[in-house]
Amino acid sequence: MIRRLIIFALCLFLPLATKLTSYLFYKEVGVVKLQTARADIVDSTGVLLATTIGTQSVYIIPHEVLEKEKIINDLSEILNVEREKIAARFAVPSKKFVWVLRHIAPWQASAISQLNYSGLYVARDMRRFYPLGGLCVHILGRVDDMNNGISGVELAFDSKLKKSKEPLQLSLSMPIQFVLKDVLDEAKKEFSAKSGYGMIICAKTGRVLASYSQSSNSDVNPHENDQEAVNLNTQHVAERGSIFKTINAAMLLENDLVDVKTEIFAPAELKVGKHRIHDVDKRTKDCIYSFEKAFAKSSNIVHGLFTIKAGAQKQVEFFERVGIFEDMKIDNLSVARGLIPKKWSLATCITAAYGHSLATTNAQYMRAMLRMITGFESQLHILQNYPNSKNEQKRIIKQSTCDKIRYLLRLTFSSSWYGKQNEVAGYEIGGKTGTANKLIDGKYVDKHSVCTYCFVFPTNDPQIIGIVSLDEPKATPKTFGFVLASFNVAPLGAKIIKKIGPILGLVGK
Amino acid sequence: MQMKLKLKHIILLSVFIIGIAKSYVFYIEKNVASLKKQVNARKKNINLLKVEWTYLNQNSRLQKLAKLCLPTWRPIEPKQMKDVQKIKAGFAHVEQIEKEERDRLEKEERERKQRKKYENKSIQNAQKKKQTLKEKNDQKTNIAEQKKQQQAKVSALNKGR
Repeated sequence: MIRRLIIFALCLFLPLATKLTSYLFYKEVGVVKLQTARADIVDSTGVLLATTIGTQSVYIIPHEVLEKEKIINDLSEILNVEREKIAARFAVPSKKFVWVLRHIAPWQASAISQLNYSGLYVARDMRRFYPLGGLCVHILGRVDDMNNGISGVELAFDSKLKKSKEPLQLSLSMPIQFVLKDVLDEAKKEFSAKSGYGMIICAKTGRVLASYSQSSNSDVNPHENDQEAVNLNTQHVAERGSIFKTINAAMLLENDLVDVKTEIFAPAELKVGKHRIHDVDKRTKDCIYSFEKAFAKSSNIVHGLFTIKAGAQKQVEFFERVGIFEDMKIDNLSVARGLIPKKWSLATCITAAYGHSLATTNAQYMRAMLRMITGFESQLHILQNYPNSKNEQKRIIKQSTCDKIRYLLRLTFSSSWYGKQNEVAGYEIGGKTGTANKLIDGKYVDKHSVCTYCFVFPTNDPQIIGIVSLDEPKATPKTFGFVLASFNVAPLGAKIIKKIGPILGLVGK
Repeated sequence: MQMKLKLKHIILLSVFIIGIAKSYVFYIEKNVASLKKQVNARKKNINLLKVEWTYLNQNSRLQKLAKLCLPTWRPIEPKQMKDVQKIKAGFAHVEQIEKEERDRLEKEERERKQRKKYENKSIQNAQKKKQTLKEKNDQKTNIAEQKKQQQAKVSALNKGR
């Protein structure tokens, strides 16, 4: 009887024992999961833009430290850091845990762990790393010490990056991005501008192919959080100047108020209340302009006159349709809100026609441009696989208007001084310049301006829309002492297209 | 008594087998864990190599290197971009020149061959003549011998009679 009981007990116990031992085993070995704290970011062709790599960091536990002076001396020698900086780290006895230096080199880590002081430790650490350096900091943004996104794409897609293991694919293209950077950096240096920024988008889908902004003199290091890196394309709100004439012209053409060949009498000066409006060439004689010539010559007066005909309501309605007043996001990437006058009087009506009295970002203007080129209610996208929405297949502008706008842009380029200088054989480039003086202390100051150039290429079947801006460029002998977009930024468009065309495999006529 | 014993044995055996199976599973799991560790280490290395690859393939670096090492090379210009069909049309005159040259070469070869043939023929003819002569001579001698033999046979036959 007893024997049977013992056997029965054993039967019950053995499986239990095996489970217990299995638990112990698990604790000992542990199935290690790959620590992907944040997913990678890649560009449209799969080039690695951001990744997480394992590094090592030194920390101390202050109440365990015995030989303080010795440790400080050794550390400053190995880490090649000033003594005072390390000593400052040791001067917080109330804390239980203090980082001395994060992300040190492997040889430094091994040297420190060989020192064998009490209270000094080396720990494994993770770090966000950007192999391409300062090329796309402005759009990618940064992460803080705890691997949380704090700006740019890292912030916009923070939860997505934390959750998924698959890399996040952006629509950027590195060769194009590099060309844009090269051209903008050169121009910024040449005209000693405050900042230079621009973006290039695909005219078919609205994908952002390149976006660059540079406000400092040297490349920004993405691994140092103290250096400023603002994406001016989405954050710099400024009056854009004459490039708004494209939108206004589209408004006039859409409402059938003018045709391309319509002629109008243009006086030398237009008086609206207190304001006096002149043309760029500062002509003193009255003359007769056809609409296309007025557009190519960028005549403020003609556009003003036509806009008076159209009326504020139609203008506001069209601006709304194109998305100037609407808050926007590039696939969750935030864009600054434009400044729009609350009252839409006759004066604002005329000034808005040539891009004054309302301020927008480049991104917002680009969306309007995209809508005018495609005719659909399209959006900008930064993701390669963006979620489709039905709105983007809704036609908002007539096809005939789109064709006319393309014709006007082409005419503007081919008839202008810079166009003749920079014509690329076989490539049909179209574009519009815009210079807007800055408001400083309530007054428009001459030669302190934002120069912008928006180009479309090729005009018969648009593939690319681009925008380049220079903030406060200086006059040089090359620009004949003027600060005008047609002299400083306009040649950049042709320069960029010359380099980009072959990269994209675009064949000229 | 026998039945009870059997039950005991079955239970004991099953427990034993379960124990063995469990221990085997531990062994495998241990292996899996170590393999996973290795895979992780490899993955990390691959990631580092990827980083290095993109760092070394930076456009700015490549541009510098290209300027240094390929001073005579220049980036592709829009002029050089052409449709394949257009390229074909553009190269028509080149094709014609090539064709002409090919024809000329063929002609030359044909002539050479003909000449060779002719030469060969003349040589062959000479050889043939020689051969025919030889053959004729041979035939003559043969005929003479045959005649002689026949005459000898005839004479032998005559003698026999």
